[in-house]
Amino acid sequence: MDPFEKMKEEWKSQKYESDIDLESIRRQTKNELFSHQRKLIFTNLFVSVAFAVVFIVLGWIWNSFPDRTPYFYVGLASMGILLLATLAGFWAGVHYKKENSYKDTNKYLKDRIKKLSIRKFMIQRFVPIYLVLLLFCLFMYFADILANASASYIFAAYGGTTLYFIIAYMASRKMQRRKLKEIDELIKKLRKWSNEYQ
Amino acid sequence: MEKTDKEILFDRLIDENRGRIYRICYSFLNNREDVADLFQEILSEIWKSIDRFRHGSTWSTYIYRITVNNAIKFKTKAAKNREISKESGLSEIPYNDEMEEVQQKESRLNQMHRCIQMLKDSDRLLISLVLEDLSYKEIAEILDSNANLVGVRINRIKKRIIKLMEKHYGPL
Repeated sequence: MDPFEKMKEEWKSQKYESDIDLESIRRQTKNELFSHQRKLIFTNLFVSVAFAVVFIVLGWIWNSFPDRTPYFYVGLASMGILLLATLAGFWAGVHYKKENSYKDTNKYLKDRIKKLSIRKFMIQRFVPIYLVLLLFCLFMYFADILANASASYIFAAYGGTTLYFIIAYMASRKMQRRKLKEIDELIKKLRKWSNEYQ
Repeated sequence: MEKTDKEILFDRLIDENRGRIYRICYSFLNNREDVADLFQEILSEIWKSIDRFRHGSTWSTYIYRITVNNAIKFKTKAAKNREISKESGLSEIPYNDEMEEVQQKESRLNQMHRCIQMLKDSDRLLISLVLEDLSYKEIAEILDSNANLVGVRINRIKKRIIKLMEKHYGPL
């Protein structure tokens, strides 16, 4: 008999019952899946309600102050657009988290590399741009509500807010760098797998 | 509580494929604790992927694909979080001509697993698919690769594993 055929026979005769408790793993998997499903529904519901409340508040502010300067409305509208972008990003993220591991291995690997590259882009570029846009919205708002305030008050409001954003961004840099390093390592490994199976 | 159609199909698929899934996981990781974790991740992905099956392939190819992809994911993820345990779940059993048949079989299996562990990660997955008796075409379909290239590579791996077996444990 061909030595490799003999190996095949031995391979197929392997027993697993003594090694792992399949029934308990199967039960545990089902429980976790159902609990994850419930959690996902609750999270989606909570986020939707939270965003709805924020939009209602923005609408209420808009209507309650009918005679403000254009800065006020530009600020509020920009904030609304940014919130919509966040919401779209959240739903896209939910969709993107799907693993699609039923696909051919090479397609699956390419998908994972693409997802990681997008995540890298979001951390590197999108977050700073988002913060600058948010700061712009606040400045628009300040331009209206601080129109008659003293110079020192205006300086403190603009300076303080800008400083707060800079500190918040710098504080998150360490975590961002760690995440970027992790993503780069993962991409490198996945590319290696992809090259192996081309 | 009555089972849904999806649950019935899921249970049937697991019953039919658990041996295959286990063998691939075990030869890839060779550690009982990690195998159980990977096994659970695969079950979870099979459940999530059941609704996406489009009859473009057989269920067994579909399950093999999910198994291979999750094994790769497990390995890359584990490398990120921690080193996969190097400790082997296999006991050291030397080759002995006078062993009983069952013991010999066990011993041979352990030896085979030891030799498979000496291969690189991507080769380990490939050889386990070959040992599962899949054709080059089927393996190429799982990987989305060229059947000829897969065949050339598998022949190389086969030669290597036989050489390793003979080098460490005597003639086959």
